[in-house]
Amino acid sequence: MLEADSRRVTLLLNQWSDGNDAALDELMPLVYDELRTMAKRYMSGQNKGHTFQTTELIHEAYLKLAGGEKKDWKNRAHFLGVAALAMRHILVNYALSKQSQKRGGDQQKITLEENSMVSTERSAEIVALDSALSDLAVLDERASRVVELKFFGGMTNEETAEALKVSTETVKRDWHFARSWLLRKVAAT
Amino acid sequence: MDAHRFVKVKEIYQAVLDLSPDARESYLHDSCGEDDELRKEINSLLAYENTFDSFIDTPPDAIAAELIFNRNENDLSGFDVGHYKIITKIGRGGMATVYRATDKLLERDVAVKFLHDTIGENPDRLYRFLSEAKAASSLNHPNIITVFEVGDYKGSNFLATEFIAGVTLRERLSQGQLEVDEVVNIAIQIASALDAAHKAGIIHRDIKPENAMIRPDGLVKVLDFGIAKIAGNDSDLLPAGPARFDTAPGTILGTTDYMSPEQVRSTRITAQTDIFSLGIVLYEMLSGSLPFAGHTRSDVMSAILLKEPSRIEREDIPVELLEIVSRALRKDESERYHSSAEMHKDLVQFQRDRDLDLAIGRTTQADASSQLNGGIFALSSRASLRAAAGLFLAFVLIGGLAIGYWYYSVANEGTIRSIAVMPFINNSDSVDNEYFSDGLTESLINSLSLDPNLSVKARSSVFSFKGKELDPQKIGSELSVESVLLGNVSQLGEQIIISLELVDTQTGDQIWGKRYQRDSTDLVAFHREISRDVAKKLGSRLSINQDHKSGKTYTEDPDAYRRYLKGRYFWNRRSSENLYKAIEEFRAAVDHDPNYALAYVGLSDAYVLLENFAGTPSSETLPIAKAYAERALEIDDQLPEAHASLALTLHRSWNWAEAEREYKGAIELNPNYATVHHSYSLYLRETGRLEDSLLPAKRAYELDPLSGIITGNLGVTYIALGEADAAVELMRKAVVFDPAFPFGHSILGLAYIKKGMHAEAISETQKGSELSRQSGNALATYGYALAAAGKRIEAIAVITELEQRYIEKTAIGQNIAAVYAGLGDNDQAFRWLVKDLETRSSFLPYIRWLPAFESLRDDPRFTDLCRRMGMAE
Repeated sequence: MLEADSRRVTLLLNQWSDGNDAALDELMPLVYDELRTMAKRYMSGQNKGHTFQTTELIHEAYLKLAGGEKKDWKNRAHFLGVAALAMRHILVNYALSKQSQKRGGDQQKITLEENSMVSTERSAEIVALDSALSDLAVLDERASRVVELKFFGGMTNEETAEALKVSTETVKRDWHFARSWLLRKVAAT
Repeated sequence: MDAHRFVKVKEIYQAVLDLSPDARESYLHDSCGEDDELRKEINSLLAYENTFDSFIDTPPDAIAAELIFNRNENDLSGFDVGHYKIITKIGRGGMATVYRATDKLLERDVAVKFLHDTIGENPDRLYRFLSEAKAASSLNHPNIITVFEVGDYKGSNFLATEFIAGVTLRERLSQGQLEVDEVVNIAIQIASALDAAHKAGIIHRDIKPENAMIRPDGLVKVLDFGIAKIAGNDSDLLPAGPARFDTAPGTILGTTDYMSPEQVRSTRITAQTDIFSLGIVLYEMLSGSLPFAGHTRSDVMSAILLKEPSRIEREDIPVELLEIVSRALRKDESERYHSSAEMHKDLVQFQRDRDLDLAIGRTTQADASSQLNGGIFALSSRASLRAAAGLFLAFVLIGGLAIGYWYYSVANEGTIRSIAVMPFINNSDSVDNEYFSDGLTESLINSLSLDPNLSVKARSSVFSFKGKELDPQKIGSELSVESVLLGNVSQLGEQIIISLELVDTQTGDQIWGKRYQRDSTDLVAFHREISRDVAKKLGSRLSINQDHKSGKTYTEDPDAYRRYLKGRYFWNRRSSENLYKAIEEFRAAVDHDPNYALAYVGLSDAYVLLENFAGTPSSETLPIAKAYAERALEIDDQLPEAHASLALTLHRSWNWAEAEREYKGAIELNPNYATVHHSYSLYLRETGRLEDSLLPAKRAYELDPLSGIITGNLGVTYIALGEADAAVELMRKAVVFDPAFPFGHSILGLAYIKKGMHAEAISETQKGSELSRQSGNALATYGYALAAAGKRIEAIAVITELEQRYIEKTAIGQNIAAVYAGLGDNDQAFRWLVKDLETRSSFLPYIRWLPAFESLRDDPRFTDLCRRMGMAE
């Protein structure tokens, strides 16, 4: 990562937190690419037994993209916000592709062979959650962001609060409500 | 739910949570009042509050890990495995994952097949499989895939095999019904592979459409000899047999569909098991469905053991072929073909008979009806007809007229579809022979390229190998050709000796070789003889038509021929001095033989380049170039090179309509002439048909991938189309291949400008300018890059330099205009462009697509310029 690029990321993060939505459009592909690249690097990892965590991936992406050691807490929170959104896209796309593979009759053999059965159920849940989350966003944008950051971004309540510029208390309350609302919604579909 | 209601629900819900469970009920009662619906709503949400371990409480780590680690297992793309560079995954089956890769040591394409870890667990079986795969490969049979290496990478076993650019028979089947001839052709090749393997004591055990690859030239390669041994389908080693296949759905290791009855029964397997499987494949190729089908594996197996296949409902299949299928599918081994040689023989006999039928114009439909009308009688009358036809053919063959048939059979044996004629090596001391050997190479390329069915690599691509060591397999992969022709020229007194060798690039085997020794005074006849022999060996129809098609192309005068070859020698080494030398030689050639069409083409080609290399104004050179091209056409109006030259002179004279007609004519006459596609793409771009210009630019590149000029042209086409990434990719490759190629760096720089990568753009265009010894065009591109990056002072310095060049006639007005346009000074840019218009610079139309002039295109002055160049709006 070039110095100039990480400055660019920082700049975009600031712009986005100042309410410039266009900055997000530019930021998103950067983060997305980085997450994918890092995922690829994991792929070459030697220790298969290593427990993998999305949070870890996202934090690493932040270090790489936004330029390392400078401990800019606020900036970091914004970054994590973008990363959570990117992660949501990546995971939902993957889950969707699994769903569609399952449906395509001819490809069943490959699918069953390539992916473990265990995660098939999990991917259905993720697709359902994504859809419910989109519905929630129409009614309660902030609550949907809380879920996105916590669930897809693996962020703590504090990090979520920082990213959304609200109190930790609000995050907790939003989470409780949204959680129940989403679970009911998913159960109903 | 409306938004207002939602807010209320959320408020109450959150308030309730803050309360102790006891207090909740009364609070709900108070806040909801009479609204029962609301209370129900809150309660239903509260029901979820106390659930634990819902999916939402577990981070999606597992699925993220799967996403990532699945790749870990399955995709090695981009990694080095030993000396193989893995490029991309091309397939995954029950037993292995296959990648396309490059062998970095031998610089050839390979396929690397990784056995799944579970497969390689049993060392004994693995060893047997590997030794069998190697044994089959060592048979060195054209229809059996070659295994280069068996290796181990981080504990996984892999096989490196030849890379086959083609489709599996399975893919071919899914594309639609196969013609009977194609089916027979494929079956013959598989049978031939099996015959070779069986004779060496190797049984395949898993013949199925997935295990046969078909190359674009029709050659079939059988894959995976021995792999069935480790798949569990291996009665030699384990008695398990079918039981091993009855695993849970999803862990399918192999298929039962192509099993023989003895495989199903797990009795001893012989070579006949492969014959049965081939019978199933043959049946499937003809009918599109399996002879033994069923919903479950047990159904399939029971059908294999008990059922007779249903009749194939297809009218164009002769009975003889059905009999072959039937004999291969006999359940009782004693009734089945005893050997694959036997089956192969019957298939070949069938094919031969069918060819004869075709040669005498009988159709298979007629066969079908005669069979319906009266069994044996019809067949016997057919046989006598065939005998008569054979006799007839024997006569015409003696008369030398049955060429159509002869070529038909040659084509069936596997015609070579692509060739690179490598520069013949001059082993004599005489420098004079250098132009002879080069010239001979080039004429061979030209005459062979007239065959529309043959792809012949163009001169500049093969000449980039001149002086280098020639490894046929390496050349094959670099130029994507199936064969190369290598030649050596030496001299013994008055005798010229030429040794030729035609080599298969896949195997490195010699297909044909011949040594010629002829008197040096008879070069013309000599050349013709060689062209004929080579064309004949290639199975090209050319050897028959060639004389008719280009009868007047050659001269009978050996001196004229010598001078012509010498002229081309100089012409190819483009510089002002060499172009004048070339003109001298071509003139001498037409002095010797005033009807020598190609020499006039040479003159035209030399004159048309003079403005570019010698600065001679186009008003002086283009009329001469045009006159010579027309003279060549007077002698031979079917000469593709002459049409191409005329097209270019018309094009450069802004004679748009006529130029297009000539281009199209030239392409029709010789679709393999890279230069004409190249010029035509420029033509299309200059006349505003930007999108259309991509196809000919690509076609030229395909025919001549190593030509710098042609590659650069494709690069600028991409840039003009806004595909800067594609241009960068292409031009990066080009400059890696030939770092000293100035044009490549300049175009790469232009692509970088498009991407806003100004530092890189300046560096590349500067390199281009330096390498070209600051040619007007390259210097202008550098100036434009500086201007685009906002480096005004440096850009203006370049303008000063270019203005000096303009006076010296080594730069044109357009060059200066480009830098001004980059600086946003449109007035100055137009001032210089108008100067070019006044001199009718043949390159002025470039402004239509060169990126530097993009900013001018909306200006009415631009439209005016185009109009004055005779371009339609």
